[in-house]
Amino acid sequence: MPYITHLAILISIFAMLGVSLNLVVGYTGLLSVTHAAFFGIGAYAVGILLTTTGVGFFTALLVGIVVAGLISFLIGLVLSRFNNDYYALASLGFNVIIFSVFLNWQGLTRGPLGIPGIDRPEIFGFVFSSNVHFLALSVVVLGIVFALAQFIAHSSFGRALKAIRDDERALQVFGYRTVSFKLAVFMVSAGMAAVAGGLFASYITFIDPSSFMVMESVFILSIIILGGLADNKGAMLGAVFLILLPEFLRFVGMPSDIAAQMRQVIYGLLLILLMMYRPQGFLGKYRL
Amino acid sequence: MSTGWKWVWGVVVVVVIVLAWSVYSKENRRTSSPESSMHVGAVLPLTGGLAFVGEDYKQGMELAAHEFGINLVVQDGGADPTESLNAARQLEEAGVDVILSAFRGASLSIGSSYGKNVEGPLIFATTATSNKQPIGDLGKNFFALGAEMISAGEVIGSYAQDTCKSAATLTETTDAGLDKVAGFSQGLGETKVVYGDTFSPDTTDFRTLILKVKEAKADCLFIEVRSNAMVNFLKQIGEFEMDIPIYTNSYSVNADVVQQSPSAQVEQVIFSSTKLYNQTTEQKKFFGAYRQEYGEEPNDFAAVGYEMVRIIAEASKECGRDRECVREILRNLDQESIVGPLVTDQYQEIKLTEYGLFGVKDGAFVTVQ
Repeated sequence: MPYITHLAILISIFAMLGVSLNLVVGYTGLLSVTHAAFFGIGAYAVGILLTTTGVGFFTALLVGIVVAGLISFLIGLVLSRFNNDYYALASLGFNVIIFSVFLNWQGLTRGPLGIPGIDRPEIFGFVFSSNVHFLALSVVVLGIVFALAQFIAHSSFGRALKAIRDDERALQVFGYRTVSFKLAVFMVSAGMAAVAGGLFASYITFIDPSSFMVMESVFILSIIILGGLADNKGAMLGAVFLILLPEFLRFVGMPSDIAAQMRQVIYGLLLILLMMYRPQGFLGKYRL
Repeated sequence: MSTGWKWVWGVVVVVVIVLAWSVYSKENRRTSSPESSMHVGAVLPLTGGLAFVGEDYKQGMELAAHEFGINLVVQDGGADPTESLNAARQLEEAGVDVILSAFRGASLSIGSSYGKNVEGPLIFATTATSNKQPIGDLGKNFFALGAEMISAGEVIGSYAQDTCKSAATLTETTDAGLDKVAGFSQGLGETKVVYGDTFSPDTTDFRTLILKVKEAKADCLFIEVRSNAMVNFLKQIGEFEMDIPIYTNSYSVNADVVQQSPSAQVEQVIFSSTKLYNQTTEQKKFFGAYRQEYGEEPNDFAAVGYEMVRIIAEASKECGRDRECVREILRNLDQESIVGPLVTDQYQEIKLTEYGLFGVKDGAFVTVQ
């Protein structure tokens, strides 16, 4: 049971990341590969504030959201000049920069030593110390993030985002300032990723830069591609699948000498097969 | 039902079938380990950049598990904090009493989660903490062995200070690397560090860095690099005809490095290590068993892995599966081992109280100090 609870917590955190990235990639059609950076900003904000100041988890989380929002505003201003592959490449560059900050600003982040001993969330004296309680908290937060994403997707703002994805020029002809829409959704998405980061830091209770590398952004992108672009339920399903698949492969009885290596090979093969036969993902309607 | 959902259900059915088959085959393969002895799980990096060390730990642990009749299950954590915690939770679910782990990120994510929970499996980590960067109290359920393996830089810095008047340091950007460089610089005393640089752990071409060291006119060089890249480094040092003492530690040097590197360069290397190469009777026995089992030479990591399982096995003889009793034994550990004397301090760090410096002569390790 502790193992299942643990995986459920991770799924809920990564589902938040999937749902938030889906707003940018799925609904708006901007191929962002920088989500792990905002995930990391939320995690470091909570990690640093909880271990060095007396502030509570939720205050620290709020700071994380604000910092991620501000940084995403600056990044978004630059990224909004790009489209398609160039957007992806530029966003990847920002992930590398922020990762380097986590790694090298040792006075603040402790660099590769990481930050151990991060406290669990506490509200009105109640500490979410047990994993079951933490799961309840993360499911509630996921519910809020999901509801917000659904609201955005089905609002007039969401329809504008879909129009940007389908034909940005056409929308501009009608007088829409598409840059503002792209910037706004990018900031909302970054804020949501920071929430996931804060929960992650507080759950694992230890963070270091290795959790926020470019590969993590690729992993989050895989979640929404596999689950289905422009479908929030698909993003959640993608998180369930990509978290559980490698864990499930631990149980497949392979000789111990090659089990770890084979697990990665099988994991990769299954993803390739799924993309070959279901390129739009489980529930998606669009392809990249 | 849409095609998408049909796919989802298809995947679920496949997963259930494979899981059922896995459970069935495991039931048939269940080993008859004594129920009275500790069930041990290990979370090691068997994939990723540190797999070459993870494999050494694994082989050492498996050798000891076989020798002392311990039920050992090894899971891959890739040295990644989240992956390692996943593996630890799975081992907990499988009912292990002790989780062994290696490396800081992996060990601290597991240690932070279980260290204060005495109901959970006992956590016994290595190369997780350092004398330079103590991690603080992770709880009475967390023990760490061999902080000196990470803090080894100071030992070799003290040795170097007599002959080296201007030093250069190169290290991969890892916690252990930065720790060792800090230790080396401290150990150097009055000796100045005229050039210091870092590089990514997956670096294999060191020519630019070597040229910078050459330009800085350093008398000696400290480097922290993965042993699988050390051969490249030594060959590239040779390309520039640099005749400079190279100080490092057992993370960067092993028997393969000695065999594959140009002898002129490898004989310039002096490295800090545990007392593994002293060739006592116990060590000879370990070397013999290891060679017979794996057809290769053991190194520090294999030896430490072996010791971790041996310590638990011997504690288990006295305590059975009583975790509190095993914790008490670990808290008061003071014994000889193949890596030197081991003593537990007040922070539950099991210290390697003696450490050696070794060099290479005619393709073999020789004691320097």
